[in-house]
Amino acid sequence: MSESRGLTSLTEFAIQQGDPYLALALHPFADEGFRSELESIIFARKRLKLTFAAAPYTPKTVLELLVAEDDEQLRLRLSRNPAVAPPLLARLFEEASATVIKNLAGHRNTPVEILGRIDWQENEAIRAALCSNSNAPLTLLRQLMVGGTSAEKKGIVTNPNADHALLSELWNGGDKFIQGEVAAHRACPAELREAALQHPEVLVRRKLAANESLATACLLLLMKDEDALVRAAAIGNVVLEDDQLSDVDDDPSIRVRRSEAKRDDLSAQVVAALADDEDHWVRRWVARQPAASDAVMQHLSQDEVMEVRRAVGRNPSCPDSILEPLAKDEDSWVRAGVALREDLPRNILVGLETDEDIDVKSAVGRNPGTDEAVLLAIAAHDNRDVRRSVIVNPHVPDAALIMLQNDPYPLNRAILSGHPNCLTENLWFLLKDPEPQVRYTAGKALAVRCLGTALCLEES
Amino acid sequence: MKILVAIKQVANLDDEFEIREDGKDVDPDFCDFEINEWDDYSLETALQIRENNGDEGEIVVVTVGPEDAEDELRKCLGKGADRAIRVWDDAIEGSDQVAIARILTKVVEKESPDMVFMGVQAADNAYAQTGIAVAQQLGWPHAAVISSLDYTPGASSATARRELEGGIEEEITVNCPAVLTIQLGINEPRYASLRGIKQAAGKPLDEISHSDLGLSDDEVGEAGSVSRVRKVFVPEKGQAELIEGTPAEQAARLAEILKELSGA
Repeated sequence: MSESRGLTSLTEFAIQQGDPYLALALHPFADEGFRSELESIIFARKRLKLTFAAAPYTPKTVLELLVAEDDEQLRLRLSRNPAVAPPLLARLFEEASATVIKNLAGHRNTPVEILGRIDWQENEAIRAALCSNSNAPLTLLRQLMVGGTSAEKKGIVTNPNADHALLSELWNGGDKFIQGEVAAHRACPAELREAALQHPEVLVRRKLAANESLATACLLLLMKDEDALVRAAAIGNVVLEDDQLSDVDDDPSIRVRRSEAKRDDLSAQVVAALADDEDHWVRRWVARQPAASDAVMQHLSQDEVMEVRRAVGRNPSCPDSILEPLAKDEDSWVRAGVALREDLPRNILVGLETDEDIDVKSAVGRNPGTDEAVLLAIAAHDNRDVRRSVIVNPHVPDAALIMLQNDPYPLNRAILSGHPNCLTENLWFLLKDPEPQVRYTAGKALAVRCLGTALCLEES
Repeated sequence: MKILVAIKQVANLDDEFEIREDGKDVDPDFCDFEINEWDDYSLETALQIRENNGDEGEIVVVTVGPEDAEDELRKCLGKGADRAIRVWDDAIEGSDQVAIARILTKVVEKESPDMVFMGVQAADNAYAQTGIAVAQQLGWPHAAVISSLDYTPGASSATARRELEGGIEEEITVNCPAVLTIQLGINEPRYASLRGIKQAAGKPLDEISHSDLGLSDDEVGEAGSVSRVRKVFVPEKGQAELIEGTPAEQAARLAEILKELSGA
């Protein structure tokens, strides 16, 4: 069958069905000749227009049509819709009401040129929205600062476009919360970083310690701060290198040691030092460390806390000799963690395939090494969440997918319709699904496949 | 065995909505419609009783509502109800919960079920009166806010638990037939299978009017109601605190509030 017949057949089907969600999905792909028919379905009722004006999944071609309508209720929804592109937001600005303007002032896609034209002087809500818009340019921020309230300045201070001068002004007039945000800002001037380093407020020093543009020398000082929260923030800062962490593993504060354990660049030495920590969260993160030795993993695989043992099983470096006993752990969550491993040897996976626990079953369902007969059984399981696991398995048998297209749980059909594993015949079946989300996703996926086939045929 | 389950199609409001021109309800253009959540649990209760009875017995769903309400009836049929009844005509418009109860009472009298289940309340109007009003008009035993039910079809009584304040439950015996209003969480409502949905299209769905039930015009609509909606409106904003400021400030204020609430 040629690709052009595929897309044409699909569009004709959507028109015949009269389904607004299917029509919505196909609108961007349809030929001009079909679009007006699709539009008559998509816009058949005001309720549909309102729904699609607010929906982030509405395609651009339909949003363009909605923007052109002279309806305040539509404009309100469009001006808040994160999927609406800058040129459409610019069109909404023309003759907009105060509420629409406020929405545009806060919208991350509103063009800078439009933000600059917004009259904010007499409207508190619009001012506040502009102050919090991370796209607001520096020139506008400077204007907003004049006479700005404390709340407005708190919006401005996190704006990435703020420069040294603006941040200095904010610091000088600000409370500890504003000063903290200044200290955290990438553009925080050097003299203010110095001031923050000595600041009496823990909050300010902590925010400084988390600043990823901070010099290492500053961080090393903050790692010796009297307050644990500051030390924890410093040690978690990505700027630090692993060889600067060696003194931290005996910090008296759990927060500091947890922050260290969460880093993904610890040396084997640091990992070993933390492996016996009294805090199970530390041990849990240590167990996932790439540098954890077999001896450390062996030790932690016998930890009394289940989450630590599971973390060992999830460590990509965990050897089979440790995985095998973990696959028989008394706690199902540990066993499930092992079953999730795509590199799990077949002899270990076989044992888990007969495990009746639903978490283990779900993990086995996702594992690409699972036997086909087992996958079919999982696809027919009583538990809806277990059934769903099979959908994402790269080796899911077609028969399982056919079964799942009839799954009573709508989420499962929705996941199926949007997954690359979904067969084309599944998608055609799901075009008549009772759930609008499923029909939309299936229609869109099918249209993309038809186009993909079209491109292949053209190139050949 | 026959169980009658009364359901309602309720409105789910958009974030931004408008009030109808007459001021008595929300403009339906700004609503999505769905089955009242409590009624999902009522239906599931009935379906489970039938399953435990060897799949013997009939489950009939009834609603008082315009044509759109048929969508919810079809969904109930898709889940396993056997038959559906929709009662509506222009005269019923404007009926309050007492008038609705009067209509449902007539349906009960016509159907002679062994049990009547309804939701504790409707999500949109939240009167929580219709079920008990039906029981009162029938002169039947009744119990409200049922969180657990032990009923064998044909038995002269059922044991139920009622959910009270503070996490307390009350266990009661109620003589049958009875009207029970079912609480959320009593079970886990099923989803209709696709096969069930297809089969639902072939199941009987009767549309009847108030006069088919032997009711006069004075007994339904505004004329048959003891209360009238004067207006529906959005009140002025209340005393909620909007926590503003930087993230750290918001976190600090939130921690303060939590400490206050926990008495620390």
